[in-house]
Amino acid sequence: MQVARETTGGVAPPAAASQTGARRVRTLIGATPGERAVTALGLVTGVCMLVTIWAILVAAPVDVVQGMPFRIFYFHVPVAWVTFLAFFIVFVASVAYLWRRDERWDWMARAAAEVGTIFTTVTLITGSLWGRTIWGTWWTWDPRLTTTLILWFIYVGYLMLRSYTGRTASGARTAAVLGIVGFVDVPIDYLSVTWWRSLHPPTTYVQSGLPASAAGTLMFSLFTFTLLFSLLLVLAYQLQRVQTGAEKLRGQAEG
Amino acid sequence: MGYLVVAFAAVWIGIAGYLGWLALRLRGARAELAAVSELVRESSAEKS
Amino acid sequence: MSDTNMTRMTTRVNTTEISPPGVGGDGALGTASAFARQVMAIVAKDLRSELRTKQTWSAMALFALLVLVVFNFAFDLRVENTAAVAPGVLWVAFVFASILGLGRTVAAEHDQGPLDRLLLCPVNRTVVYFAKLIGNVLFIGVVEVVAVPIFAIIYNVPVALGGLVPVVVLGTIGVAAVGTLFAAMAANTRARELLLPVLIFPLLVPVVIAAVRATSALIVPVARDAPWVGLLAAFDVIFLSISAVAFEYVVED
Repeated sequence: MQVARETTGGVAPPAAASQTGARRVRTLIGATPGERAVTALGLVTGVCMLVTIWAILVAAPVDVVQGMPFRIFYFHVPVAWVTFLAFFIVFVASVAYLWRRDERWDWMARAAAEVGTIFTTVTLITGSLWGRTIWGTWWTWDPRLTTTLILWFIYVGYLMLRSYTGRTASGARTAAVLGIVGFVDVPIDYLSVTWWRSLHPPTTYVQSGLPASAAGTLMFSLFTFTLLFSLLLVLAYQLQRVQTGAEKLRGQAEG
Repeated sequence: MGYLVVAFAAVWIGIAGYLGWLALRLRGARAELAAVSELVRESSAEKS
Repeated sequence: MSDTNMTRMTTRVNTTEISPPGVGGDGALGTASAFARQVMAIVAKDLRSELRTKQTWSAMALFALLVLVVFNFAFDLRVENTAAVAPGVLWVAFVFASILGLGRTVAAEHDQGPLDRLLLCPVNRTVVYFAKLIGNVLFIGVVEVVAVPIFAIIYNVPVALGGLVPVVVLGTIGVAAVGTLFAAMAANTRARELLLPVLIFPLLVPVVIAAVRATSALIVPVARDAPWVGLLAAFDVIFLSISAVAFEYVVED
């Protein structure tokens, strides 16, 4: 849990002898209730993470046909779910920003886009690994894979747009429009790719019902990854807030 | 089979690395904010 | 564009200032005709300035032809694979040329300032969007009129003209609908020429798939194919309505 602790302490805590026990605790878990909440979230996420890794690797039952590679499934599906959640948040925050013009929605959209892009990358990698074991090929132009790839391109473009515009109101509005249009584009993409592929043999998916222990592992994994996502989102949001605050203050000092 | 283990480890390291990078950037930004606000306080103290 | 949408958009136009008395200002019909008149005025202005220089048109057309020729080498076309490759080549050429033109038109607006001046006019942003859209459709259309016959000759494709026209028109509207919005978005940034293709290609995927499929169905008819022309029209409606609403936020200030 070293990482979770580090995130909350504003100053690096050198174990100075003069530091009292209470101060040391404060620098470790955070001084304000908000910082302590983040620390707690980090701790819970870390514990859940370890349990999930154990469950995926040891406890969960393995598909008879697919064998060990089926364990990717418990990892891949939650990550894909988090990806969708992230871009839904980008969409909602973008709409809210254009409606309310509150900077905080803009930070939220930007944070969710950044974390979502990371998770989309993981989705693509794990999906590709799974495809290698099931279909015997790293990549196939299956509708879900193709749509996820296009989604990845859209949101990498979103992050590029943000880095090119800087923290201006017009940049925020432009990014919000891209966040909305990009999200609306996803189902259309899926639809068109499905029809495009309709002439080719359909890809077979694992459609059999899951046994209870497998469903339990999947559910717990979903929960854990949602926790991890919220932790990352909170940190990315704070980063946006602090960076914007510093930039504004610098502008005041110079101007 | 081997590549699965490697990839699993790589993805986890990647996620942990992102978390660490995020934390590092946040710490840097906080330090910058503190430095800038210190600067502002000093300059306003000089004026008065 | 739907009628209700248009009337809602134009209610904010100060009709008394821009339309002669007695024509606009009263009722949906007057507002709609005022809308059309404003759009046409801006389109005519853009066309006049382009006709003077012809820079954009010539560059776009030449580029489209170059893409057609280069792909011919790249794929080593033979009779048996022409039907599979040629429609894709045609649409890639159109989309590339469109992006070239889109980047140019908005860049020209920004360098010389007319977009800012245009936005100072008591004209609704939606008017500006549709004017720019029509201008872009015309620009791309000219390129297509040049490129399609040459495409038919060098790829040795029997182009059924009657069937190709609606596909090309619908595809062009789709590309221009997204393209006009994104060109304005990219113009807000420091690196607009760099950013425009990166942003626009992922979003154009549905339009490109539908247009390519519809075109290849004209060359080699496919049994039980999806209704691609209808889908293309549906994508156009979706992209047009979203872009028309979103444009307002992009060009604000």
